[in-house]
Amino acid sequence: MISAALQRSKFSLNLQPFKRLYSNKQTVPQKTTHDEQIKEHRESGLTTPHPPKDVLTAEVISGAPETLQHRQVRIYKPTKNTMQSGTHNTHHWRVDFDILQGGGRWEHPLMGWSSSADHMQGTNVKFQSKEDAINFCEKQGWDYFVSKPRSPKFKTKQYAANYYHSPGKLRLAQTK
Amino acid sequence: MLSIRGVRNLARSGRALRSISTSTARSSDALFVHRDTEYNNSSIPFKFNSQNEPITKEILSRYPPQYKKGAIMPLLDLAQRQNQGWTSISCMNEVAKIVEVPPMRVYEVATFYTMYNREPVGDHLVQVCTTTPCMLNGAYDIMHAIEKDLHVKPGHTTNDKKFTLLEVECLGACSNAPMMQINDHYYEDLNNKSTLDIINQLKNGKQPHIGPQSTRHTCENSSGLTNLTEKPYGPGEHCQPEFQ
Amino acid sequence: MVKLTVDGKEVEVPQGTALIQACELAGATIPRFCYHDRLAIAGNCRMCLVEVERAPKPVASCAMPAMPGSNVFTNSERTNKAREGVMEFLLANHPLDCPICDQGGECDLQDQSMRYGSDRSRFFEVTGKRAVENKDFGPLVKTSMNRCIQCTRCVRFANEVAGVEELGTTGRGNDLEIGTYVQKTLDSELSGNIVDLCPVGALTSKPYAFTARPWELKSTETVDALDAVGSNIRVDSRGHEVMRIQPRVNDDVNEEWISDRTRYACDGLKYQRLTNPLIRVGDRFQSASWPGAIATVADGLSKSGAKGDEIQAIAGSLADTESLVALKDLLNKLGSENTALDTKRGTAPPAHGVDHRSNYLYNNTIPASEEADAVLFVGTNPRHEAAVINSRFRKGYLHNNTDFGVIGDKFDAIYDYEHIGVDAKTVGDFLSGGVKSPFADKFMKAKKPLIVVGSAVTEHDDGQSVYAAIAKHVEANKDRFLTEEWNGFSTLQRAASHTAAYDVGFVPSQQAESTKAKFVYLLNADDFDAQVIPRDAFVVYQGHHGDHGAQFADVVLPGVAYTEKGTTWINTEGRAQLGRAAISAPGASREDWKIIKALSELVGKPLPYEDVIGVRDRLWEISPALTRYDELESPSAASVGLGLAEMAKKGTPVTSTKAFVKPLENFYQTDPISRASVTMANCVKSFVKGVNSEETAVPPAETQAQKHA
Repeated sequence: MISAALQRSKFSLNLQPFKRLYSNKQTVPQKTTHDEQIKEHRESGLTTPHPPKDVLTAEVISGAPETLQHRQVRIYKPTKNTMQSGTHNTHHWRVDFDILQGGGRWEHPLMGWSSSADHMQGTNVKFQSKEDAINFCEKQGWDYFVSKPRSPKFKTKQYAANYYHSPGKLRLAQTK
Repeated sequence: MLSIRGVRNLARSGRALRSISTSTARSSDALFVHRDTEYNNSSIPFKFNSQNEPITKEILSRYPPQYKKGAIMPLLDLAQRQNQGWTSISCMNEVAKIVEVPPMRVYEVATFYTMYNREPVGDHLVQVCTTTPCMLNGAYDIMHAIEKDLHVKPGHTTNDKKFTLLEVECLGACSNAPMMQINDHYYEDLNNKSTLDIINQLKNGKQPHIGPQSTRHTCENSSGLTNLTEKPYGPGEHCQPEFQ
Repeated sequence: MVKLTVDGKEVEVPQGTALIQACELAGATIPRFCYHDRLAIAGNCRMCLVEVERAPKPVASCAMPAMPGSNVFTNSERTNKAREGVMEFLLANHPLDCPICDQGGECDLQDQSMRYGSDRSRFFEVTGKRAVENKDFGPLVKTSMNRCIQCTRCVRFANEVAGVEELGTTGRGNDLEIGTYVQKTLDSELSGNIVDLCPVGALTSKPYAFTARPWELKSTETVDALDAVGSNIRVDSRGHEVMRIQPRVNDDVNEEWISDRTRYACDGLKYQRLTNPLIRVGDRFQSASWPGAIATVADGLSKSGAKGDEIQAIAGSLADTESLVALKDLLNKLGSENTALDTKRGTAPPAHGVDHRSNYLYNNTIPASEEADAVLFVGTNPRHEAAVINSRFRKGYLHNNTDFGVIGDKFDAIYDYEHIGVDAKTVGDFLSGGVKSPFADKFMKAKKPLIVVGSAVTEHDDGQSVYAAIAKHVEANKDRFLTEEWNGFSTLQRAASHTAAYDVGFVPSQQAESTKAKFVYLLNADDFDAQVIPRDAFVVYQGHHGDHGAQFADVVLPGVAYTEKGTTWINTEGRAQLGRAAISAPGASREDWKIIKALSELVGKPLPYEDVIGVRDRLWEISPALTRYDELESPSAASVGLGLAEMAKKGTPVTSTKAFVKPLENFYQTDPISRASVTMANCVKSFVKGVNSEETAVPPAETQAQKHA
């Protein structure tokens, strides 16, 4: 188990440019907090990548199957359903597993149900903030990708805009 | 259906009785979608004739050039007058072209107002008012008289396409109730006889006397004036000496 | 800035904000039916009524501007009573269709009636509820007008955003009907969005009708690949099939809209799929195993004796960036520079060159398109090529007084434009001031001019000269075209893979253009001309649909479609977006780059990456912009200038009178997925050929039977 973890970290050490985006596994012990380290590094004027975070991964302790460490995870804020105007389901962050290559879904030969070899296909975890989600994924040792949340830009709306005078040709015959 | 005793029993037993209400079924005399027929479809051409063309230009001149859409209503009315009293789909399309708006905007206007007849009407559109003041004064009798004479029900046209009978809302001539409007003229102070007289005259192609069919001139008191019997005072009269 | 109090909380909003927006900013949720952020305010549903202190009546917050010092209560008894009243009136004439209505589970009326509706009805009319005829809007939008609450969102959308001013309200009062009055289909390529807008189930999706409930669906947020806009979508899948595609909000790309092809072509993912590797034996294809198929390809490569540029790869419009990179790497390792695209002049180096990114990107950025003063379209039909960007142009037309001019094929646009000419020479004439017209005047004096060059120019014989003329003009007018905040030179791509291909360098060299290929690798390529492939070449087709390209193949390797792979897509602006796999691949199909990697190992030139992170590392090496997801890095004015200088150098004065040819025949069938889709075929019948949709639409039940047969 542990050797496998070390193996993986060597593997991740090969991915220099992408570590920030995908995996943050590092086994060098650090004393200050990660934010402080980044601040120090910024002030130092070096142009190397920021020092990665030190995380005590829970892979050995958590009891989760080892294959889960090779799966990728998406952290995102679920989008508002465009059919409705309610935003209740859009205030949390979700951690969701990417599909398992080759083990996704197929039609059950007898009943036509959707069978799946992916035991994590229906699992998702909700968090209140992006940092919580990231911390969780790092602890579990999952590769994650954070999608940028999008919210609509604010633009003032006036009812009086329906009645603005058009000096040139009328381009919109205003109706309901 | 519950009997009266059953109802009383229920009420006595303390269970609330659901009241059922019935309003009159509203039957509309107009469809709010267009169905193509041989007499009403967009391939029938419509253009304003040489007499109406200058009127069209005059109407358009009343509005700023970019707000031609204000002219939709008067132009539709003009088109209706030219088109034998009804607005066909080609009238609406022509008006849309003149006013430079998408045709749908003209359809919206034409279906909103009831005076744009979207189905062909007879030569004489007989609109009988049956709102309260007229009804109290016997509008329904007038209606029945016309129905019996012309053999039409309200909303329908006679077979010879000469008369269309319509039951309409208040026409604003309440002091001359009962009354009816035929094309552009009001025929007021009606009774059965004068109504049928008017209809017969129209059948024979004669123009009946417009306005009150009684001895009145307009809506004045028929037994003589009770006010406005003397010359009203004007500027300079009944004033303080300094304002004389 | 206006300060007001909402529910005891003080909030400061810009002048002119509607009260409903102020309340939302303060954190209060206001129920609404007719108000929508992106449409004009109608104020006819009355559900947004709130109580304002010292106002005699509840106030429609959507129509009332936020007044300074007002005290708004969004949860008081009066407000709730008002909302309950409105709810009761709306439900009075609303049919009891929830069990059969498609909107159930995602219906605004259902949700708001849970809070504001009564548990018992007071409606005891013997005459019954109002009944309204269903309208026929085409094969995409199903109407049940009984359920319509006359919020007029669809009317406002069709009028303002989609530009087809054919929807309206006829009649008045209780007889008000929403429709087109005369029987007309909703001929817009954004018509599917009114299904999203309708708060009740009056307008629903016809292909999706009666197939699924929203709570059964698993949503995956990904990116669309059927055009180059890169609209953000949410793929709803149930089990192993994609049930529908919904838009995601992204104000920088597609706002909240997606085009009809993006939305409805997903049923093409079920038909004509390649699920097994196939080897051609004689004139038939035989199913093979993966090792066998890849060995056959390696064999074919060595037997064909192809060396250097005789090994050709042609990439299609649905090729993802990772597989483009893998294939280019493989070909380069084999000594070939012959990486082509399947467009009309795809086997030649592109007219704009790929050295400077700004030459082939939509530099202006999509949100800024609505701020232009004068837009010149050269050889493009934005309505078909990028329907969502076209709605931005309409926004500019309506609110920003933008004027448009078109050089190229005339097209039915949702704004007024001046048709200047059809051929390449007109471009030169216009830009040198030779054309005298109101648009030319406005264009030459505009403070924010925009030139949008389309793929028809790249596919034109004289494309280089056209680009040169445009580049010269832009350089000469640098003070208007290339300022700090404005970049007026944009190229509109029409396929999702083209920008990525140009970024990665997947274009043939000058030498490769004239080499006759002996080994051709088609990567999702289906739009090429048959003459491009020599008769005796060994052809390999890697793709997911048995479309045009697979016919030419000696070996068919099944790849996966855009909903089944999580790959990078670069949209026409140059924005990198990461898609996500929603369902898994059918049969034995594999991810595209993995197939190429396996092949590389067998031909003895193994590619250096082992997993997708390795491929993305390689993408980063080629260009870091390819992996900076969701951000857009606009080129600086200086670098744009360099690119233009290079283009200006290349061309001769434009003399060709050959007209620009429309690259897209019709909007609905442009790639293998939409060509395999029944819904798109119905759309072509209805909208392009004008046949009555009711008579010719193939009912879904029939297609299911055909699939299983």
